[in-house]
Amino acid sequence: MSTFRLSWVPIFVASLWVTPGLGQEFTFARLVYGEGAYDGWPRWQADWPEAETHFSTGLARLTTVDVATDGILVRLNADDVFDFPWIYVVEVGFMSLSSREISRLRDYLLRGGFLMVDDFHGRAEWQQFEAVMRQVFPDRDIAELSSDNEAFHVLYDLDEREQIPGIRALMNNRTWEKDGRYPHWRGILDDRNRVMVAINFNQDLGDAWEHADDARYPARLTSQAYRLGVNYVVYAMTH
Amino acid sequence: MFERLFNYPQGLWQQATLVFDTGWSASSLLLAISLALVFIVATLWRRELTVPRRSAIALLQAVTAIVALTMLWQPALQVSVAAKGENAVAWVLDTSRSMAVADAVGNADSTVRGAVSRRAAGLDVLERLAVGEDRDFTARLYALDASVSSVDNLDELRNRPQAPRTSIGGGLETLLGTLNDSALAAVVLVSDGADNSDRIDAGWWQSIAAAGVPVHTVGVGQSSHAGDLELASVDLPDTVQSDTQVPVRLTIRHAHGGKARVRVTSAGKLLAAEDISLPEGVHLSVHSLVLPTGDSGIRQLEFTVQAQVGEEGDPIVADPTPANNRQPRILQVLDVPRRILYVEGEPRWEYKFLRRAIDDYPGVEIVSLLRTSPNKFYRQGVQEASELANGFPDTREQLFKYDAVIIGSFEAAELSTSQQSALRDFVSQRGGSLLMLGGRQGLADGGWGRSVVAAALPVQLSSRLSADTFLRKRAQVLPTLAGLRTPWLQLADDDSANIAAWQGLPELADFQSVGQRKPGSLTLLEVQSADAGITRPVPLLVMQRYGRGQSLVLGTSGTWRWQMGLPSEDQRHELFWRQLLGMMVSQSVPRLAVEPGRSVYRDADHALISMLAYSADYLPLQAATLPVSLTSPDGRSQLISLSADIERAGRYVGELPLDDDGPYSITANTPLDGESPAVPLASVEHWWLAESDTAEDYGSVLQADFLQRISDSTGGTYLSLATVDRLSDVLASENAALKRESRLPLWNMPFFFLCLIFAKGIEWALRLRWKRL
Repeated sequence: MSTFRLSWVPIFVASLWVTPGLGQEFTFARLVYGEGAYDGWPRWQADWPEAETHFSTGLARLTTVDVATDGILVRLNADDVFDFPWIYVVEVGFMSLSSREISRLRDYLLRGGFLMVDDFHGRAEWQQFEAVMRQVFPDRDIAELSSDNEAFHVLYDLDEREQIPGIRALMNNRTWEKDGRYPHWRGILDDRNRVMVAINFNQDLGDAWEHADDARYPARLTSQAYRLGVNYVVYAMTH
Repeated sequence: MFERLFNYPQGLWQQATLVFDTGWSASSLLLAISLALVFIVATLWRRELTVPRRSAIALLQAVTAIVALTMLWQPALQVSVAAKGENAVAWVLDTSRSMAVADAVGNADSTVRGAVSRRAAGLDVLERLAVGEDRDFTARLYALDASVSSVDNLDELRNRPQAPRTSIGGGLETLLGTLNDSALAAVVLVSDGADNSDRIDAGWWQSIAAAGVPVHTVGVGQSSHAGDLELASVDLPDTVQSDTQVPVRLTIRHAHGGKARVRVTSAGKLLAAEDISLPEGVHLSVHSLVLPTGDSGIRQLEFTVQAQVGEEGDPIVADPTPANNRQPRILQVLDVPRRILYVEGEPRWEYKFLRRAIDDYPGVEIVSLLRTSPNKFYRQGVQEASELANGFPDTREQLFKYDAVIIGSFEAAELSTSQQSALRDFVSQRGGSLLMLGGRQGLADGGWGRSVVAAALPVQLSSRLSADTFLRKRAQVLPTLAGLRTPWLQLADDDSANIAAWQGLPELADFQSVGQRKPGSLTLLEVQSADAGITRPVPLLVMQRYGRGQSLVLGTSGTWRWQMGLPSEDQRHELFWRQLLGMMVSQSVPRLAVEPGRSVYRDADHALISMLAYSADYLPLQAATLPVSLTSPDGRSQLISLSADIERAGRYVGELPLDDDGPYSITANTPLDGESPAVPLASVEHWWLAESDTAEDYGSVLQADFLQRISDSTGGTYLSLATVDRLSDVLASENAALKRESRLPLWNMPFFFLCLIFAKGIEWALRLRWKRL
């Protein structure tokens, strides 16, 4: 019996919704990966589109960056990915990339692009993400970012940080998911020790942005998620 | 022929005035001639002759009457002539070492045969033309080397030792200065023209022309030595930044084409070696070389050029003067990068990628002030915590310590009027470079068209409150013809590759109309803009000089697409910004600067040094003297004061003694006279070399153009050995210093008698023929 795959539907709908993103200096660009979907729902789509619209509004209010109110979806195989030097990607514990995508991601980062990685938890998802990044940069390690890294000070001083949980975990009175009890702020650095890839492991900043208008989500955590996101954007535009 | 018919040379006629010795006027002569003509016509009127015959006779008789009457009035030439022996000609023979080169060939009348030394050829000229009894002018003999000195006879000149220097500049100046009041009719300089003094400048040319004494020059020698290879000059900056590359320009004098090898060594260590081709048919060619600068320090470099060896290991043609195959230079390698202040009103990609382009570029540092939020500035590249802590510099001194300023998407209203004035003066007075970038709040959209800074910009920005000239619209950039010829806009080595490199760039992310160009500005880059369906080029990068500095406008903030749109290995984005910013800082005027002078003083007893000094806000220093520290080759230091140049404020000059061979240096430091120690410090160090017995090895070929120019400037004549016998005629027609009026009779000119014989002879013959005697 033949089956009819519906995984393309949300992508199609999304592509109708997003704008080209060239009207402002900064556009929240979300990375679309994988041709198929997992469990019938694309992993890249988590928290979309509220996370970017909420965050972009906050970014425009808190900084002088010229921000597009709506985000955009980008694919590594598309040429326009290079028009967006800041990319956000989620659920990377389920991400796999083709060899061409691996090569283009490497070149994207070496040209000066910045990748913010979010919303993945536990050892198994880490191993999957690490395996992908090992293909992108076989010669670069993933490092723990110390609190004195400029990414934590470029606009807000974020010496003290706490784990940003997903809302479902929060509803279950936890701040972690799976076995990811401890938050990590990691990164991949370039030859001049600048952060190319900012990795929020065992955290879900996207949920904090998405549910910024939800009374159940603590304002303290929302505030930190915003500040960290703002710092990553300003860092990416200055380093 | 002229002289036989008219008694005197043509030149004399041209200088003389026609007078009549009888004292009768020319009008009376005309009246007499008129009466004679009337008489002739009247007497012939009734004769039975045909009209042609009557006319012929009348014409011949008229000629006879005119000539006879003219002779009767006793015409004469009134001329000013030099009395024999009352005027002098200074005969100056170059007795420097270069005159010992045996490449002179005399003319047919000369006693010199074959190739002889230049001095021997010069002595031959003096022997034949200067000395002797039957001369109109008294001959005074001089020897010229480092100075000019009088000699009594040719033997003294002949036996004079070879001097290590030639100072035609100083020698002629002395000669014309001391003899100007005496009856000096002319100077004859016999030389190869190989001057190695430092006295030849615009003032010198004016002074020798103003002396009013013609200087005739006789060039001896050849314009090239067979087989000689000479490293004529090595041009490179005195100071360079460490860990960069320095371009070097070598000028090589060669008699023939062929191959040669250039080597550069420092303390015996080979830094570079390159084989070059010397073109055939020219005697001077220029070659380029690029040297790595390495770490900071003082480098004593030795450049050498050697003719390429043949198969047997010997040079193809033996070099007669191997001593001039080298040039020593001192290079100061500094680790003091030039600093650029970059003020940006919003985080944007251009800011990031512009900074990144300079990251690995030694010599340029960007200090940036970025407004990240309405109430926050983010600083990068500051040297100390207090730098830019209060935002844009408040004082001129703080701003003037930067070498260049970039203003991005930053509103003019963010700066006070005094800060805007300081920014304008940064260009005009400080001599810095200002680059204005496009952006939402840049150029006209940032209100800069209504600011004080607008006067300094190369374009007329719109002064409307909402100009809306910034468009987030992609545009392809291309250099103009001027841009293609601009060295710091070259993205590839050759022309076609450069054009292809520009055409292959991704489109800019945005562009902004920069408005109308001001007169005197230069458009270097353009974009194709489609407006109302018509595509036309509009200026993108425009620059102009403004006061001591320069201003540039780049109407985009979208060159970052060149970086993100090309493979990571492509360096065009980096190259563009490095070359542009490198050019900007290189034009910056330092507070203390040594004016370009000689890198090597050969056989000199002093070095001429001039410095420019400005106060902290770049007004010319007003002190009477400028103290500098002079360090000799033996390491001794002494404090010396340079004197203020009365012709230019802020300029200080001095002659520093050169007692030993080797490297010398001077150092000057701030604070200067009366300055507060709190102002930003500045210092300058300048190095040069002193050498002995090498001056005459360089440029010792015949410098005919130089000698020709001396003659042209003074009203003299340049002669080669082949034409030197014309010198007697030249001197004969000389305007001597002392002259007497004289009248030379013309009534006895053969021309008059021939006219009379001719006229009467023809008349006689005609009458015989017509049988009408």
